[in-house]
Amino acid sequence: MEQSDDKTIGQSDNKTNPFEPRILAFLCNWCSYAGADLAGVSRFQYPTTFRVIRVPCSGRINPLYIIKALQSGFDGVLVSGCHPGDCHYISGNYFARRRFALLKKFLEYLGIEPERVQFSWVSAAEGARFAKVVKQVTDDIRKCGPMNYFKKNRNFVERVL
Amino acid sequence: MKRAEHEIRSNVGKLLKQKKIDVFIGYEKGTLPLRTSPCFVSSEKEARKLIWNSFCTNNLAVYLPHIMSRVKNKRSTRVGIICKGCDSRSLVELIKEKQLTRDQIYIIGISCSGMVDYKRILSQVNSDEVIGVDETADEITVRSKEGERVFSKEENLCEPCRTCKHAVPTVYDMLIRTAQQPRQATTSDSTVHDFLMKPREERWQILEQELGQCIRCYACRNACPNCYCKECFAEQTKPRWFGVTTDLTDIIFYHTIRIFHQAGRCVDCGACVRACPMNINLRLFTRMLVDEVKERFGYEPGVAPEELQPLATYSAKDKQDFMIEPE
Amino acid sequence: MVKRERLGVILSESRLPELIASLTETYRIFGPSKKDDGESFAAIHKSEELALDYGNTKMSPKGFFFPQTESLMWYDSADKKAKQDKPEVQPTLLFGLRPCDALAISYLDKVFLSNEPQDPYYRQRREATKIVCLACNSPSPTCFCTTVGCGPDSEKGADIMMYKLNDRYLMKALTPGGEEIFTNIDVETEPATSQDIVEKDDLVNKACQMVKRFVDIDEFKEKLNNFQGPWWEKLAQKCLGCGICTYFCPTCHCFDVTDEVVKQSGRRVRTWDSCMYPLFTLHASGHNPRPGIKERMRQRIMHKFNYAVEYYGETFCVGCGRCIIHCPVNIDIRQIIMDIAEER
Ligand code: SF4
Ligand code: SF4
Ligand code: SF4
Ligand code: SF4
Ligand code: SF4
Repeated sequence: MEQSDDKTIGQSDNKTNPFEPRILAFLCNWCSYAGADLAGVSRFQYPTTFRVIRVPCSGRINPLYIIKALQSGFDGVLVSGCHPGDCHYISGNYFARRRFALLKKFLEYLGIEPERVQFSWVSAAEGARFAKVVKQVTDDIRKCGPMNYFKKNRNFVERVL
Repeated sequence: MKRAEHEIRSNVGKLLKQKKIDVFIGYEKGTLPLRTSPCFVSSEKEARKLIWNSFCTNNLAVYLPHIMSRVKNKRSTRVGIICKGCDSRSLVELIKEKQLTRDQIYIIGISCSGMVDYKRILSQVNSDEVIGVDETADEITVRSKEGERVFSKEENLCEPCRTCKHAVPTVYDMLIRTAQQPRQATTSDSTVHDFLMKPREERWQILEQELGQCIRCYACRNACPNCYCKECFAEQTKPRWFGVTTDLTDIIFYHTIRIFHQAGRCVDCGACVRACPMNINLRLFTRMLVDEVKERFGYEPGVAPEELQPLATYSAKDKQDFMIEPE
Repeated sequence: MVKRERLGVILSESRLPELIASLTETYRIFGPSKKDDGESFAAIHKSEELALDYGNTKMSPKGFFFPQTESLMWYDSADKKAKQDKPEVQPTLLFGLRPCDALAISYLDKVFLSNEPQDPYYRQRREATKIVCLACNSPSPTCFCTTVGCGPDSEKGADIMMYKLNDRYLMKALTPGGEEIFTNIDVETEPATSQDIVEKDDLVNKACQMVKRFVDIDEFKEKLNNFQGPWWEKLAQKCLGCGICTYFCPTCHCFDVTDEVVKQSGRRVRTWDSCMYPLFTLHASGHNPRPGIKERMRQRIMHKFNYAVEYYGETFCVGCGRCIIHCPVNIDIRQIIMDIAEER
């Protein structure tokens, strides 16, 4: 998560290019992660805005990780897991769904754009769907612009030099 | 009020004498005007210092998890406690979360007519001059060197009391009724609705303004009965999730997560708000989850003891309107 | 320039604007701000912004020298470079501070400056700052300064002492720093007469009488020599461990140092800490020598009234009453003192 000071992404390198958001994706090992793999193997075209963290289940996602990602400088977060009924652990995604529903509404209420934190179901066989999700989320977040109001300024290097 | 106070004293005295409870948690006179202070009594004699009035605001349920984790003989120790409606709802949640067992506690429920916000009254008088306070059914009279001032209770209620629908405790072993009617709000709370009417940027701005005053004492957490975790995320060091500074993002981090941990558990007692020395309007944020949980899952914390907490269960039919469905 | 007079000088209240205007030429001024009825210290540019009839501020002024969050240094371990953070200092005046807070600052000086190595961050801010103290004519019901060796006219820690007499201010320079302020300002004053001093003494006496002395503090301190005293358990029972009492206290000075690291670079930052928190004494092994509220409460009281007396010869409570006002469960340090003193 401390990758956030990577200068090459997260800002447009020159004025003609549109803003390239930096998005953290938490992908369930049993479905969406494999779906992402399939999207790659199948050579679907999709933006390179995602940094992926593989998790055992969407139910493993602590809302804290999402806040942490935003504070660390990511412009958005996607959590993706197995479709309802397909959870490797039977009910992890059902529990997660309740938590995510509240979290998404809560963050929106606080004043964070709803597009910044998104949730989806993508199975291991849905490479094309994964590519679409990436594209849609990227487009959404691109419209929001950089997440600068909740980023902790941790540009330490600059201060030293 | 006086009658209720008398009843509390004599009943607690009896319970202690008959060894039905080992200790009782109630309220005693505060050292400052318009204040009361939690107190622990363990003898019939001490029970005489118990009081009851409209300033008994602290949610005493906060002490139970700590006491229970400390007592050596869990089976035989019994703790008595006085509970308003909201406090009893906290207890219900604590029992659901297995922090207590019902038979370890003896609950004296008190049908509550609403608590008065002392800070609101103090802001209207010169607190240095206050000599005494009297209370009738609907009014608070503050006597000061400058004379007397009468305040209507209704106008100076604590925020959550205004729209409280469960002022009669949901669990108790004995119920004490005061001379006043228990509060039965007819209007619903508009805090969340009003806030949502503001544009997004403004909401964030208000959040920054409110939380910008936070000094990170964590009194809001420590005053909350539901925040009993032995190790709170805010104090974890391996890993340390966020900075300990007064950087605004660190502060917001703490509050969003703490408040989110109360989703489906917060009983809207207002203890966090009252504990805050900076008078931050935390309820603006805690209340949102109370409303959302009710709307989405039809759950009201602390009302039905046998009902599962909303985040401890699920339904295959839960709405997923918030998820993306790429075309 | 204001001439030095044996009994001090008298400044008419109507000249306060001139005084402030003249001071702002040399100093950055902070004083009780009218904006929030004297609840906090804010930058002052004109005398109208001052609320000198305030009781006391909500937060103590310790944050001026010892801010809650302070960057100590920045480093980059890849380049093997580090840079110390230098607090930005300018000649500053704290104007209208209450005597208890000034005394508390003199205690903080002992903590941060009396032993080697001195704290350079604190020192730089402290050396650039002078204190103009305003005696209290109407103490609050929560004040108990006179019990703990302070008082409405306590002078320790002040460079200039001010007394409000009806429509005049009596001002006295107490230190070379105070005299330096006087040489830097240009405002018309008169020498104080012995009549003015009588008037002042009268007001001070009245103020002293308003502050209740409620306990024999020596008896209390004597009892504290019994570390295992039976009273702690009961006193601590209702404490929530929130630490408000220490964050608001003008003499509490504990801090924590943490590193915020991203990859190989980071900053070292100092933040307030409190003995009321579990993390304060938690060992890496997981053992905590102060495992509960009882031990933490004992530490707070013992530090103020026993250890500090031993280390610095001072009682680290100035009786400002902040901890009393803001404690969410109304734990009253006066009550603690009384309960322990009267315990047999
Ligand atoms: S979050 Fe606040 S209002 Fe909710 S239960 Fe805790 S103390 Fe009460
Ligand atoms: S904020 Fe969360 S982790 Fe911390 S004590 Fe409360 S419930 Fe536990
Ligand atoms: S009680 Fe108030 S000041 Fe303390 S941490 Fe909570 S919000 Fe911040
Ligand atoms: S402010 Fe009160 S409750 Fe909080 S730690 Fe201090 S004594 Fe305990
Ligand atoms: S202990 Fe309380 S009264 Fe004493 S100096 Fe600190 S805040 Fe003031």
